[in-house]
Amino acid sequence: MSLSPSTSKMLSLKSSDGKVLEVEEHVAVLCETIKSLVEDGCADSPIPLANVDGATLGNVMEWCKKHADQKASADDLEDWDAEFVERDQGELYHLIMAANYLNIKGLLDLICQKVADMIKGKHPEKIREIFNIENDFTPEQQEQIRKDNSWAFE
Amino acid sequence: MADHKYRRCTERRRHSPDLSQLHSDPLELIFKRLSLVDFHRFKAVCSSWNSIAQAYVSSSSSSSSAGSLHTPWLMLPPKQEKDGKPSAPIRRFFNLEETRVYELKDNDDDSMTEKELGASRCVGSSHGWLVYLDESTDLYLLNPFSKARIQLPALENLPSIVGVHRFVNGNGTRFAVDCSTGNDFESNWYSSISEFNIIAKAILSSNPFHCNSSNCRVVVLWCDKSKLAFCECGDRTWTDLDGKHQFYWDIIHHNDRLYALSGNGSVEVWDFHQSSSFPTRTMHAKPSYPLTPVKVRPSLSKGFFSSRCYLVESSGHLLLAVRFIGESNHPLICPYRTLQFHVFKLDFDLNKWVEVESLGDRCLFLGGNHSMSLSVGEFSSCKADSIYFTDDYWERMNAGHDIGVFNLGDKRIKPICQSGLEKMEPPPFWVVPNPW
Repeated sequence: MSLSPSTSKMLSLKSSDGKVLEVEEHVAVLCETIKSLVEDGCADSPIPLANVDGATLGNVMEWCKKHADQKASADDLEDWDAEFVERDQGELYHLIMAANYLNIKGLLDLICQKVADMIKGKHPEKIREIFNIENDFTPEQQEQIRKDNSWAFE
Repeated sequence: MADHKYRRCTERRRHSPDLSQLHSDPLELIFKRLSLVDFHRFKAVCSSWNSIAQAYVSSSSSSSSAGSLHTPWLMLPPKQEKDGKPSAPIRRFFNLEETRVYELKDNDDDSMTEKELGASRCVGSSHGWLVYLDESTDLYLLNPFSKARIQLPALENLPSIVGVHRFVNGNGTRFAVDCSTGNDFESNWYSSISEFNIIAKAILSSNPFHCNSSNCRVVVLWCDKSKLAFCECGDRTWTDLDGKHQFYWDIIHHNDRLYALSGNGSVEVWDFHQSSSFPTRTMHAKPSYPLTPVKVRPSLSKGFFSSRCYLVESSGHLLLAVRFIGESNHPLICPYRTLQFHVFKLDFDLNKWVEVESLGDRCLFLGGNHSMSLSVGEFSSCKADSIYFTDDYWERMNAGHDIGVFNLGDKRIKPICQSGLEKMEPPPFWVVPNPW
């Protein structure tokens, strides 16, 4: 069975906050989780996605749509992806959780690479600041961690 | 008060989740992309990241890729002074990714430092571990990053060693080893080999941290490169591997097999995967030795040169890298210098080494270390189609100086780092930094 764009039917996806999104099947099946449902004939309409909120689902499907487009060149996709990942840490967090839950390897790799790039070359204080993460170590733990590999903090 | 703080904290988290709450699976995808330095800093961000990273480090699931997670670093001679005064030696490494030197200060209670950096000699670097031979003929593994140490059977326990002579000279206690080299008719013959040539290379089958240690195997090429022996971690003695050749250039370990490149270009393979305790020789490929006319500029080499050969596993192929070394015009500063490399691929069907013009997106790390091939796709700070080499001309070396990166495309050699030193003693080794 081919899922070419011209014959693709529509799927309804329902987010955790009750929003319903209509997506072409050949786009939605980039999510392995949805693909298995479709292949097993278990794709209820709408498909409930209890772990993904509406805004994130919209972002995820935007990425899937671009990557399902067979006319897009590799260079084009690379530029588009670079722009796509320019987001605040909250959105990056939700995208990682959604890509993990929906099992979209390409998107998960993309966002994790972005986060890794944001961490590279920075000290823990700066990383916490960028990602709005609280320092929850006790002073003793903090001291020990630094002492163990002091060379990495110079 | 604490309760209030906790409530405020959890409320904030509910409304604005942050990356500290990521599960282990996606978090692993993030920190696997980090260099060793960034990994240590990552662990210091918050307790959740710290515990997930620690759990990953101690789980055996990471064993398969642990040997090649990070770009190799060049181990430089230790620094012997601090603020202009003599001090305990400080380990130094050149990080290719950041092109800077890191100094690993050991804790004061680490009494091993001086011994390793002073009287011991590095005879191998494999899977993040260094193999050391000390002046009392002890052999051991050391991870310079985690400081973990594993004792190996002593040199005296190598088969066919007849005796060890110790003597004192200006550099402290030195030794030479008598090895029986005779065959059945000449069993009384032996030769005396200095400690500098006794072990040409030692390699590991895997990272001993991950396997239950008896599965980790150490193989040595020793006795003027004429003999092979192995032990498993925990063994008390070395076991001879009955090689068919008088001389070997290099050994590598891949997928539970040992590959030994002999002096005439043939490859012997031992399979350790069999259930029996002793490995079986499964293959003995005897490809014709590559006789390629070498285009060496005579002006560089005074017209004559020597060669050294390395065996590398690269994307499922066996490669032979031949290093051509010319005589330098400055014998006092650097008596010899690498001119170029030629690389051949073993074609099993033709039983022939076939020259390759390009390494594609791969780069090789050669020298006294376990030969490595990396993809620049995964290790972006390395240059494709390049060979990163260090000095391992033990027979002639009085200090390492023949170090650089050769590009197969334009055949040029560039320096790796400006260390400020023309000669480096002890000679540098490639090490894959490995925090576990």
